[in-house]
Amino acid sequence: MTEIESKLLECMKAVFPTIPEESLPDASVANLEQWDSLATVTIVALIEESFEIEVEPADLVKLTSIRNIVAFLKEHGAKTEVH
Amino acid sequence: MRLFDALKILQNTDATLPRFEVYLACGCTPLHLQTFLAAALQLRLPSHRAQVSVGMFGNLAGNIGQMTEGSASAGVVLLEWPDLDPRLGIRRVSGWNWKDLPTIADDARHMLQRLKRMLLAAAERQRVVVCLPTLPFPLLSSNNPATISPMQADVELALAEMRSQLLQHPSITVLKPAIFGEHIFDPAGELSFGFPYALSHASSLAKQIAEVVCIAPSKKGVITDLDLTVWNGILGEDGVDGVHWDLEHHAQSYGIYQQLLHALAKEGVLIAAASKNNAEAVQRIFTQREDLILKKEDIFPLVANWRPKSEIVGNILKTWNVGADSVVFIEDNAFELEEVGRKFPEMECIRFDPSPRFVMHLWQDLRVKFARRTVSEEDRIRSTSIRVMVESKQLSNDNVDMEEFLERLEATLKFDFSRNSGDERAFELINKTNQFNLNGVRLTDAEFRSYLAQEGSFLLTVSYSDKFGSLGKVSSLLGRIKGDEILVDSWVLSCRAFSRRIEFACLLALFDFCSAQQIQILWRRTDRNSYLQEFLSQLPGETIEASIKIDREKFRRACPALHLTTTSNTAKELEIQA
Repeated sequence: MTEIESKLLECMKAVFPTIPEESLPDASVANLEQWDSLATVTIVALIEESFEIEVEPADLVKLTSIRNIVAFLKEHGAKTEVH
Repeated sequence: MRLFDALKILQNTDATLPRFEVYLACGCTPLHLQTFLAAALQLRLPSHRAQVSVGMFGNLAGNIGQMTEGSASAGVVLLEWPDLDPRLGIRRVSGWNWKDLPTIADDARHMLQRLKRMLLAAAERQRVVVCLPTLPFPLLSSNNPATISPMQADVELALAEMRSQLLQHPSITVLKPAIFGEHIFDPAGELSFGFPYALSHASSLAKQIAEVVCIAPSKKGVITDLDLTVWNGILGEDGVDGVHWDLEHHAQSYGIYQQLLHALAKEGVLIAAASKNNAEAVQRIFTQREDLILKKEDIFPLVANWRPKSEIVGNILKTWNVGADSVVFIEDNAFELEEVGRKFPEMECIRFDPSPRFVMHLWQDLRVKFARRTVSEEDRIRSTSIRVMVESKQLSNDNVDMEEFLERLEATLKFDFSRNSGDERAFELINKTNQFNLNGVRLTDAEFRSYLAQEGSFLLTVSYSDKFGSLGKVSSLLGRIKGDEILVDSWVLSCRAFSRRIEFACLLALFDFCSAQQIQILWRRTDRNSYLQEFLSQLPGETIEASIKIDREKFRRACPALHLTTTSNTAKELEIQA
């Protein structure tokens, strides 16, 4: 697991505390009922805070699964030493 | 606080703790502010589970209505400019033509009037904290952004008028949050989610709101050193005329400190001096130097001797009868500070430094520690009543017979039975008294109001005065009338009023209040209510499962002579029915 993945997992655990940790890496809007619009907003705020990046409104549609978020973070040069 | 930490705080809270609910009414999406506020409240109230309820997006007035109907312990109303007129935000893009600007001011004024009426109605049911706009005023006019436009001035005037009117209500607090950092508005968040705050600002805002909603009990007293703290110089070396606290002698910081202590004393904060000094010289400076801003009458006790500082401070605490955790000790000497701090680890010890920056910081710090919304009669006479207590103790120690001593006090008691849930002093007494406290149960503002809204319930307050002066309201009691019985759920008596048989007089007044035949006292042993336990042991009642039932006639026979003149109203006057 990369540093970005590990840190993102911590964020996801904060948003979805009742979901087993092993299920989180495969989580997406499609397969996780609790991942609603409110959860998306919280995830966005957490990754902005934790990785020191800014998410543009147009990018929101890309952030629909953990894998997509990891790709997005890598693409935007997310910092990992912040958290 | 980071959002991540806020979420963790809430997740780690024990779900079985009693709930403390706050309603957050705002026009924006509450989102992370709701999370931050719940976490900030949780940190301040570890014995409860904080919960923040919210309403609908974009409907501030409707949310205030919902808040009023709900059962939250407190309501928080967050105002931002678009709540006064949507054209003052960026989610509506029309109406910025210069001809429209006066109508924005008019609409804002009307909305503020409406909100004011709603807030006053809400305050009749719960404590309300109103948070004024924190975001920058939008740049709608042709004015240079560094100047204020007539429209902005009109809106701000209407807001100031509303603020001033709201402050007349005892249950409304108006918060003007401090703004930290430049990045407080998040336009992307506002457009995407209707959440206009940068995370750091939301966190800071939540913390400030929580500090007002869950007010920490204010400290009760300051013990201050004198040399190099109240004045610049050493009295024993420089003499009465050789110490200073003014600009001319580059010692204004000491003058500011004196002025602050003088103001605190007038507001009911206890001020004592603990000085290693010649007692006669200290008395002389307070008599001879009329330019002292801190007056001798502001200070009680004024102690100057050569005993260890911790001993002097310990004696002052005994005289005041307060715990070390309620007191701030201010001293310039690091050694003395350390010695007192070791003896009283709960006491906050502050090293005095005459630099203007430190004194300004101290000013702010003490204002927070001794903050109170209003200065009551009891606050104003607190220091005097402690002097009275010390003097009357001396009188009682002078080999005077107790009955004769009580008679010589010429004491009067005023019993006031009411259902006044806005009685701040009664509420304060219930929540801070320990030694004569029926069960140690503290009440939130909402619980206090809710208790007095029950049928048959009442509040009894007792005011005391004697030949030495008034002690103000010294006792609060919450009870219920059930047939010919009175149930007492909460009862406290200030320690300043002990040993005067006021507690016996209270029970007599209760029996007479509604011609009750029996009083049932629901009490619980606590770590600190030993004085109460001793009183209960003297009653002729039968103890059943933490309650004592007292029969009218048996009590009358057992009651000692009271030597008190009393006045009271009755249940009939109050129209309280069982």
